[in-house]
Amino acid sequence: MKFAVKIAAATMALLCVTLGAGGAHSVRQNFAAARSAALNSCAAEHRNLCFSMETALADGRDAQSAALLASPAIAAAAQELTGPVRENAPMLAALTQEGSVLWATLPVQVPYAEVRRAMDAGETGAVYCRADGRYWLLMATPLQGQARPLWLAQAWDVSHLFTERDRQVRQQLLLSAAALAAAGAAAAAVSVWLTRPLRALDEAARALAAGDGHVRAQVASGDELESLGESFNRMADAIGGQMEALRAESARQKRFVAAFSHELKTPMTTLLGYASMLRQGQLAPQAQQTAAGHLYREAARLEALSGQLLRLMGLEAGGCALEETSLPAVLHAAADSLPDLPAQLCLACPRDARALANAPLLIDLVRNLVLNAAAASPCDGKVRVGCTEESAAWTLWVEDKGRGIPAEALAHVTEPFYRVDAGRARSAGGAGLGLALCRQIAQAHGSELHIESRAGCGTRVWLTLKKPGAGTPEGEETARGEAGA
Amino acid sequence: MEPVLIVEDEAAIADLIELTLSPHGYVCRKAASAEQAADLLDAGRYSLVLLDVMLPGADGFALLDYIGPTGVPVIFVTARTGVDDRVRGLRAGAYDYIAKPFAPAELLARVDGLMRRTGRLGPALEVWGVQIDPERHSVRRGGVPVRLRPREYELMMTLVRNRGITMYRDVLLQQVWGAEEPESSRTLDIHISRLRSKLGWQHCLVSVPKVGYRLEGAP
Repeated sequence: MKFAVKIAAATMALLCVTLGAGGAHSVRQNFAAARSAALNSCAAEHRNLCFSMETALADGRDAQSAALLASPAIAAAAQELTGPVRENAPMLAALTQEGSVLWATLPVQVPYAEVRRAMDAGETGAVYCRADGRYWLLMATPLQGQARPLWLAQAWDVSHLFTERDRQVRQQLLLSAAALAAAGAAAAAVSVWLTRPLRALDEAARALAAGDGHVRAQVASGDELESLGESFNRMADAIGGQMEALRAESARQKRFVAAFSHELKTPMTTLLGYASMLRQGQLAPQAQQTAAGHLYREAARLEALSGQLLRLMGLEAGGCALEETSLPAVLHAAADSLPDLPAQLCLACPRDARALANAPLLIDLVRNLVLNAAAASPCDGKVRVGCTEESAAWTLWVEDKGRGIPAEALAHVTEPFYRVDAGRARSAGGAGLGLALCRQIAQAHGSELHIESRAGCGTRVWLTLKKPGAGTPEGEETARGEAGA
Repeated sequence: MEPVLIVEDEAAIADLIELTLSPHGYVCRKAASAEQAADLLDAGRYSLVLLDVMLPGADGFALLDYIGPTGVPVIFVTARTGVDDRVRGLRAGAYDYIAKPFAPAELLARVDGLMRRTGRLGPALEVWGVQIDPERHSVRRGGVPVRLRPREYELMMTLVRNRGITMYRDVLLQQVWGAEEPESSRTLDIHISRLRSKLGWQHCLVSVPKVGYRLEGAP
């Protein structure tokens, strides 16, 4: 059941009970008052009649012995009392103590048993009875001063009291129904209005569940529901952010797996092809030599690839230990490891530059960046490498005036196996892991790998290194390496 | 027959293709880039181009556009095996698409098939005085039909496909008999001696002790 319907139903139920109880009480009060008034007036009339009857009978006592008091006398006295037959003449009955009717003008509808009940109720009692669709009030009083006990019973038609009560009940019911209908409509409208924020929240939650990460609840009710809506929106923001991050991560993983499997296909083709050739039979010696050479080189390439990949994964997982390192020594070590570099290497680094670093990793980074820079065929044939002092850190940079990186590729160059030009990098011997490794090394040193490049103008890559005893070089960026250190 | 042009920047794979095709009479030329391939195509005539997609500079698709008007059939040999790539290559006019890594025998079979379909290779092979029509499975010696059992035919074709190479006994058994490898390897020797007598190959089908058999290369 909807919440709005529940609110309306609860309101209606409450109203129903209240109206019912109130109406019933009021009708009951009215009825009791009317009955009491009727009873009083009837009792007064009855007392007068009794007195008159007693008087009339007392007048004739001398002539008649008490034992022989005859019905005609009573009838005469009663006749006298009731007067000529008329519409609202008193309805009377004279009875002996045993209940024998001596004389009566009671309507035939009134049962004799009810008359006896009125006699049993005594002088002060009154009895109501219903017969043939009419209500009767009965009173019976023993007459005083008679030779033998004589009762006078009187009946009144009080149907109008009950009719009036029934009318009041009907009226009350009608009024209650009208009030309930009006109140029900109002309650429904109000509850729909009250639960509007809930519906907005519900719609927003459904949309979010269906995968629409941009949906937000619009609730401006100024109460707890509005604050709930705000909480929901904050939750949706958080979920949206996480979903975005997961999507990006999943896309990155997919690209990585696709690139990795593609990267394996070239060496696999070579290995499988030559192996199947050698397996079939004995080749001519020269062909055998060629096959063995290719097999060896491709296997070595795979081995190097797996080694690089392992280092990448290791850095991603654990970081590295940092210690005080001389930066010129790192640059010279990197330069020494590249004796056949096709470009001229220009080093610019203060002799006393020292930073917190992992020397072997940093040498590897510089080496990779220099190789990339040299492969970009710089127009002046130079690759510049150097360190610049910042307030609490050193900036290590590698620059070239080569062909640069196209803007659309800049965001992807640090992804494993990403290549700006598939063929060129592969033929140069790279596996496509160099910059990915450099970025990981930079992150292990608490820095991002910053790459600035313009196609046709050249590239500048840099990272920041903490000075010994200094704080974090890039504000909120923390060194992942420290955790692993 | 005009030479086959191999456009492949990986020397190892280019050599593999050449080593696979050359024993079967295909003369190969190699190009390591699209530009080099275009120069070679301008300078001479080729019966077929085996084309890698990922090349330095202009890629295989660009080169395919260049080759298209010349009418030289092209087979893509590439690691890019996505459906999109294959459809793109075939729509652009490539005859076939071979995914890396490939088996040399498959490469050879596809090249042979293309050559036959395009009429660049006669339907029949002539090996040591025996005419073989692989389409009809018919073998003639000096114009006279020779009746070969299915296994004998398979064995002959395996040896013909690997002419000049000494085939190991177990490889021959595996390739001809497959899963139903005979219990005794004597079966192989019996089939070889039947082939020798039926085809008159007593001298060119040689036994290599402790290794296997070799059908000598071109006479």
